[in-house]
Order: sequence, then structure tokens, then C-alpha cells
Amino acid sequence: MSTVTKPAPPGPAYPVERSTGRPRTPFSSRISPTRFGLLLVAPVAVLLVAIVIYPVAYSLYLSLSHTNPFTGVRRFAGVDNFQQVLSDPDFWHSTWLTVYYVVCVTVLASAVALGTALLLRERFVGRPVLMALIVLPWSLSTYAAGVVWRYIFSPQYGLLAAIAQQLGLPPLDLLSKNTAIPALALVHAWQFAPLGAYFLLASLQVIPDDLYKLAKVDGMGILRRFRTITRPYIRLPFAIYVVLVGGQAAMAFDLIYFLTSGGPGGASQTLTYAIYQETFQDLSFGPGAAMSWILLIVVTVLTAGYYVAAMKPGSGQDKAAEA
Amino acid sequence: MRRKVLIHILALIALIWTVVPIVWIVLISLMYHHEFASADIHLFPHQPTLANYVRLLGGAAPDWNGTAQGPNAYGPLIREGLLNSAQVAVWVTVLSMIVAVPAAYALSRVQMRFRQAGLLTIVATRSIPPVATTIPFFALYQGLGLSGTKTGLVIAHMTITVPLLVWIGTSFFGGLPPGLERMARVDGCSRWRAFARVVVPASRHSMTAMAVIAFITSWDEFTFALIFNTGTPAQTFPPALSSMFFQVSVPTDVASATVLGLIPPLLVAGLFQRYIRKVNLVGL
Repeated sequence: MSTVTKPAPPGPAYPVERSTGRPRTPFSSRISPTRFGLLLVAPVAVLLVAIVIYPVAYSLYLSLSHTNPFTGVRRFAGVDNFQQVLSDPDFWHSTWLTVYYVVCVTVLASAVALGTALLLRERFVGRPVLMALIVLPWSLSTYAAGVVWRYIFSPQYGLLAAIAQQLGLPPLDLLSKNTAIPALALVHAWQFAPLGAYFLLASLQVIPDDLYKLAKVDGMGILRRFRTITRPYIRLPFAIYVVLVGGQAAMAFDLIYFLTSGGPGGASQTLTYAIYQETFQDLSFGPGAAMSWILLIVVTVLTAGYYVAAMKPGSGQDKAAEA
Repeated sequence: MRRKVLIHILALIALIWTVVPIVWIVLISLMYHHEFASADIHLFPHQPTLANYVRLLGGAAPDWNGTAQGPNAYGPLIREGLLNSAQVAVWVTVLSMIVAVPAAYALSRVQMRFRQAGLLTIVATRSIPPVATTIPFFALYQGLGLSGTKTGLVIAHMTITVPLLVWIGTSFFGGLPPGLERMARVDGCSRWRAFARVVVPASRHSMTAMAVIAFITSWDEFTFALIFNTGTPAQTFPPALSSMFFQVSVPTDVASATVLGLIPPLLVAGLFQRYIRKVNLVGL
């Protein structure tokens, strides 16, 4: 209380820019909005050109050249690498496996996702708990999911093998030649279904309950109700999810690496795994890069095609209004 | 009534399907190898122990029958991997945020031309699969001496995180009240100050979510880490785990290493859960 208040220094109590005579507009306000925006975007643009566009262009160059793996010397090869890849039966085998894998993953993941979403719309004991736990697989790193499922599938120490043994069944090896791809797809679906479930649930919760009540009064069975009420609402989100999962499945690497390493005997050698082997184990960059370009083009075309088909006018919510 | 029972059964199946694989690996990590290798496999350990973790972290712990056991030989590999992963993830987060936040802001809120085109181009780079970039990166890194370095891995990870953050960021900034900058400008802020002093503080929660996502994305990335850094001093956790997984055959040790690697991202996600909730999941 007894402190003596010092006299305030002369001048305004807040700092001001030293006046130079004329009012100065800050630089960011002097330029046009477009310039300001471009200045903010510039770092990302420069960065992406340097670390994405340039490498991708470089990979095109690699796919068109012969590289000596020991000396690193390159010479132009034209389309030799593409020809070599396309005439290799192993490539077609891998392509077929990739298609098979993508189909398995897409079917399993969308079925699980839709089932979970429909289930979570219902009321039951412990629903909040399930709601919270269901993201767990999705929040796992993909490589960790691979290791986790190794402990389920392994014929030596896996949980399934143990259960089979205790039930007195013959030894169970789901990672064997004929079942490797579906088993991998199951793990992939396990990991990515939660994402779809959440996404679909958000769309399901928009549907008014009255629609279902009215339909029941009209004597519609459960399948009819799903077809006429539910389906129009989830058609678009479902399509987006399918494309997302399918595209991801075509690029899957971590899971395959940890669970089967492309085996047994090449039974799960999908394109991504073949590219990895060709490039980083056999160090043949040309064919590896050519294969990665083929994969990139096919995936892009299929994804774009599917989007166009799925987003045709007439699909989606407007139909729901008619129902 | 029958419907109620059916729904509960289905919920139970969903629960088992979701958690049993994860619970199983955690339980294995708490078993002695002796118990795990015994003929009757059971879900819950009779003699639960943290010995696997202790030995992995460099300590000594007795075996099930009391015999002394030294630290795990793979301990240093895993510990270094965890440290390197953390360093790489932090750098990726910081650098990605510095470039992505202003860009996301500009592309969502500044009245500029080329907005749609810019956003589309950046998002399109997200659809390039890692395999298409690993090959040229590998070839380029050998010439630049970046192969097997943390710097190299940080750059590689930014090819994924930067477009991702720009994409998520535009939806965050787009959700702010429309007149925010105009009010700041009326109060005498320049364009830059309106962004730096008004918009950024107003969206700190969303930006926390962006940072968390960048961290987790870097931590979880496998392909680049495996191809560039396996067996080098800059080896991060995923390739370290992979070497351990393919070389030793002690499942209990591998299980505890795997669980150790899951802790950091789950911890970060758990701490900031309420911020991440708002992210449009499909953007990921």
C-alpha cells in the first residue's frame, strides 16, 4: 500500500511503431489476397515438388533405364523394362493375387463394417464400451497388427492352433498355401472395418426412426426395410469406404511382410511384395520401377472409375426422400 | 425378446473379434517362456510377470523357477529403435506443422485464386502409394548420403504427413466462424497478424489434433523405415522389431517388444483423445 507510484513516462502507455511520417501498411495487407495466400502455400508447394513430384518423375526415368546394380551406371532402355515385366508369368501371378486379395479384403471389411455399424445402432448392455473398444484395431500400427495376428495364426504357438489341438482337431495352419490370401485379408479387414463402421454409423444415425416404424406397420420384412430405407442412405458413404479399402488393400505391404513374407512358395506374393523383392532384394531397379508404375496406373484408373460410377446423379440421399 | 438376445450375442462376438487378438499378445508378454511353451496353451498366465519387459529394458529378472536371467540381448536394439522413432516422429511433427498449417489456412480461408486447384493438387499427392516413392527415394538417397539417416527418414515421412495435414487442416480452419479475420482486421491487425494472433490461437485444439496425427503417422510408418534404415544406427522401432521378429524365436520376448512399441502412440492418442475425435476419419 505504501509503494510510491512512479509517474508514468510521457507518451502513450502502449508501444507504437516508430512513426516515419507517413502511415505504413504492413506488407501482408498491402499485397492482394491471392498473393498473400500463395505466399502461405509456397513452402508446401516447393516441398512437395522436391520430395514427391521430383521422386515420382525420377521413378519414371528409372523405369525407362537399365541400372547396373553394382556400378550404378544407367543407360536408356526405352520400354524394355515394361516389356520384360509384362511377359513375366510371375508378374501375372502377382497381379492375380493382388486382385484376389483386394476382393477378399473389400468383401470382408465392408461386411464387418456394415454389420458392426448396424449393431451399434441398436441398444444393448455395454454399448458405450464396445463403441470405445472398437477403434482399437484401427489405432494399431499395421506392422503391429501383423505381429499380433502371427500369434493367432502361427501353427506352432498360435491361439487357433491351440484351440484346434484342445478340441482334438487336426493341426490348423491358416497361413498355408491355399488359405494365405484369405487369412491375410481377414487381418486387413479386422484392422480397417472399425473405420468403416464409424463412418457408416454416422450415416445410419441420420435416418428417422419413424421410417422404420411406418415400414413395420406396412408389414415390410427386415430385408425389405434394409433395401428400401437403409440402403439409399448409406449408398454413397459405403461406396467411398469400398474405394478407400480397396485402394489400401492394393498397396498392402506391412501385414504381408510380417505374416507370410510373400510365402509360402510365393502364395501371397502380391504386386507390392513383388516390387519390394525385385527392387530391394534383387536390386533390379528398372523392372521394379516399371511394376510400381503399372500398379499406380491401374489403381488410379480403377479408383477414379469407381468414384465416377458411385457418384452418378440419382444415387444417394434424394432417393431416400422417396422411400 | 428373441431380438434382444440375438443382439447381445452379436455384440459379444464383436467384442471378442475386436479385442481378443490384442489381449492375447499382451497376455503372452506377461508369461514366462517356460509357461508359454508348455503343452497346454491357456489364455491367462498362471504366473504373470513383468520379467520380459524388465529384461528388454536392460534389467535382470529371475526366470519362472528362480534361475537368474540377464538382460535381453535385443534390448539395446529395441531401446535405440524406440528413441530413434521418437526423434524422427517429433521432427516430422514440427516440420510438417510449420509448412502445413499456413497452407491449410490459406487454402481454406483466404479469398485467393487457384484455391481449388491448389487443394486438389496437394490432395492428389496423397494417392501416390509409398512403393512408388520408395524406389526413387532409395536411388536418390544413395547418391545424397541420406540412406540410413534420421534426416532421410524425416523427409520421407513428410511426403505422407504434409499432404495429410493440409487436407485435415483445411476442414478445421473452414469450420471457424466466417467473420473472424474481418473482426481482427477491423481491430487493426494486418492479414498476417489476423492469422498468427487470432486464427492460430482460436484453433489450437484442432492444431493439437493435427500434430498428434502427424506424430502417430510417422511412428506407425513401416515401409520407408524398413527399406532405408534397417541395420543402421538410425534404425527406428519398426525395423528393429522386424529384425527381432525374424531372428529370435522367443515369442514372449517379441510380444513384449511389440507391446512396448504400441505404448507411445496409444499414450499420445489417449492424452489428446478429445481433440482427435473431431477429425473426419475418412480424411485419413
